[in-house]
Amino acid sequence: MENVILKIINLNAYYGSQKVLKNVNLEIYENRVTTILGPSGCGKTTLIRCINRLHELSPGARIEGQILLKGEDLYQIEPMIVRQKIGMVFQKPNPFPTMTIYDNVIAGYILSGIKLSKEEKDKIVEESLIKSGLWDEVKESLFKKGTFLSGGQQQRLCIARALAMKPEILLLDEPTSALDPVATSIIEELIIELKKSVTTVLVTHNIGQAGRVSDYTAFFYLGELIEFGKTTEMFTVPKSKKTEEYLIGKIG
Amino acid sequence: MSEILERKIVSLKEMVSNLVSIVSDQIEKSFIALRDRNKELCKEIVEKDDYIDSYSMDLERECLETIATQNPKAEHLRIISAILFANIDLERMADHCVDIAEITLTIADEPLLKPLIDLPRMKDICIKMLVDSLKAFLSRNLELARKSIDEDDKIDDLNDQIFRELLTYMLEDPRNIKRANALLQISQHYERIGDHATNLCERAIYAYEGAMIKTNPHKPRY
Amino acid sequence: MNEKTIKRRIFNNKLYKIFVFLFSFLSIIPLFLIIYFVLIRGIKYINLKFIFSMPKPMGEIGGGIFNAIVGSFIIVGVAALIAIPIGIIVGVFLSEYKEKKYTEIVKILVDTLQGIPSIVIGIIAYLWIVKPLRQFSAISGSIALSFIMLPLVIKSTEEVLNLVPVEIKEAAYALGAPYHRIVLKILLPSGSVGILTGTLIGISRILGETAPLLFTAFGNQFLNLNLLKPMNTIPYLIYVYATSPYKDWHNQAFAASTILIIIVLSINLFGRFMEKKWKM
Repeated sequence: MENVILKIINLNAYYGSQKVLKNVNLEIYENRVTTILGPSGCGKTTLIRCINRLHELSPGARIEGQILLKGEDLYQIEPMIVRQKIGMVFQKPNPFPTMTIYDNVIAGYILSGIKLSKEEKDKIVEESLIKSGLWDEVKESLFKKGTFLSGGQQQRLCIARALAMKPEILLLDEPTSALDPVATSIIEELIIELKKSVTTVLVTHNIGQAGRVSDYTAFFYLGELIEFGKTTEMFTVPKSKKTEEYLIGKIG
Repeated sequence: MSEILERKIVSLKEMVSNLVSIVSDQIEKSFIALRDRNKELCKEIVEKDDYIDSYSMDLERECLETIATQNPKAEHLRIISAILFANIDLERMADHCVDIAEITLTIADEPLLKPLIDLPRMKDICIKMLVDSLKAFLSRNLELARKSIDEDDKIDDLNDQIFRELLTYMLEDPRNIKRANALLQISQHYERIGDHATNLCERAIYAYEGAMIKTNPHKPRY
Repeated sequence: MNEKTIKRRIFNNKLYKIFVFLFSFLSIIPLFLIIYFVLIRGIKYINLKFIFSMPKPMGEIGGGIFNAIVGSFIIVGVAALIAIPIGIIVGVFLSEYKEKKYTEIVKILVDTLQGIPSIVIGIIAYLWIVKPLRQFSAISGSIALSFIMLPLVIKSTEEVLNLVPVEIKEAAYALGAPYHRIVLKILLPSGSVGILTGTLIGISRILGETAPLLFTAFGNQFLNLNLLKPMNTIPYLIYVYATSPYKDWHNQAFAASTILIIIVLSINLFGRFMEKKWKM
């Protein structure tokens, strides 16, 4: 039986007067990978940016509706606290260029002014890098700057950085679009492995990737949630014609 | 990525093995019910078929879901395709067993027309072909698959033999016609089961070699 | 036909290249001439005594420029201490709040400040600080110089922060960082090279500014370390000596000019070196 960890209720999102998300109602299940799938411009990136309250940083951006994490309304608490509970990995790998790999992993703590002892820091760095599958490759060069790493390694560093904060939910915004096929498949396996410890919401327009890694899929089109269900069911017998058209490549 | 796919394929192979085991059981039971004129056993065979149908649908659904989400290519794709088609043949084989049981029910109250000699031989070859085809598929033993295909000729020959023999009985005495006809039909059902088993062997070869060999299912009779 | 066109193009190409080299060479010539001219006349008077001893009273031969060197360092140092923090903060503001109308206004003001002649800035500093305090002072000189340095620091800070990719900022926000930490720990370190360069350009610029000092720091025969009293500086000394009737003072002016040029060149080279080192 699935446990609901995040509930999105009647969410409408605006940039100025333009409505980009229309009345979205969605439940995210704990310890599962849920993919937000849809063509470019369907609002999927906006959706996850509403979840971690990054959306409101854009000029003229606002929302109506509620997002509840384990029953708590995320728009009634400090945005900074929301973002500490919900981690995000972006499309283009973006490790901080002036920090070492070590510091990059615990950057969340440094930037929030949370003080940790050396042992605590070492432990978090090692655990996070092991979880993101990067430990063996960088354990000898923890104090070098992160920019010499390959694209795939940089992205895993960003994943480690997000995991270090021990988030309840991990948001991945097209995490492999900028990577080569080998790096992509490494990260896809990582995503499947990680769901044991963290709930994952993945945004992608890549149908193949959605099929390979996700348990549930939510299909969005022009700002509306068209269909939500188990990936295996949606990909074999979609309930909506729009979903079918997207999956076979007729639209999007 | 292919780890999940490999695990799914292992699970699909397990499912098809289960199905083979249930179907070969049905074939065996269908003969015993005939030999012992056991009406209870006939009813069991008919009821079991519902379970087989539902299991077969599950197997088909699992195959399709795997194709839709995991993008199998080359050999992976051929293996899943082989399982999908084998599923159909196995389900038809089970249907033939049901037909045999229902025919048996019509003559169960009368004594056997003649001692059954050729029919059990046919049934044994059917079961052997079925089991060998699975073995060949699971262990990539293409030699075994090819040898198994040849066994089908024996089934066809036995069917012809039974036909000639029963013809004699029918010409001898019109009261034999009902029972002889029933046995004739049963013999033909076993012959069809043998044909389906041949398909299974061909699919096994296709999965690994990528080439479909189509053998002529019926030797010319006349 | 084709061949002719190609030949013509190759010739034109060579012609352009020659022009580019020629004109860039021509524009460097004045610089070399100045340095050569000054160096020739000044270098023979530079020795340790010159650098470390005090000026002699008017009319007497000999003496050094020690108080001017110390004064320049102090006044420029204080000016930098004023201009750098304010400049960085304004630079951050201009970079972060690009869309607001208010930002446009500030930008125009900064550009205007940059365009004000240095002598006018000197006069303003005179009116605001020297007159109320009733005396010339080093601090008024520093404040005047900081006005000149400020736009340079603001501009280079703003430009280099604009270059920080927005993804880096977003990553910092996504980790739950408060704004001031994002500026201090991510933005400024990322832009540190540009900010440093802007600072060094500013410093080497104000080291040579004379006009404002005429009305503010004035000059001083003696070594003075008190910010509230007049202080001697190298450019002021050059001005006084060069316009005096004494030949010895003319020579000392050239020597001081040579020293000033050396200091400015060193600062620039240092800036380049630090830039390279940071990039590693």
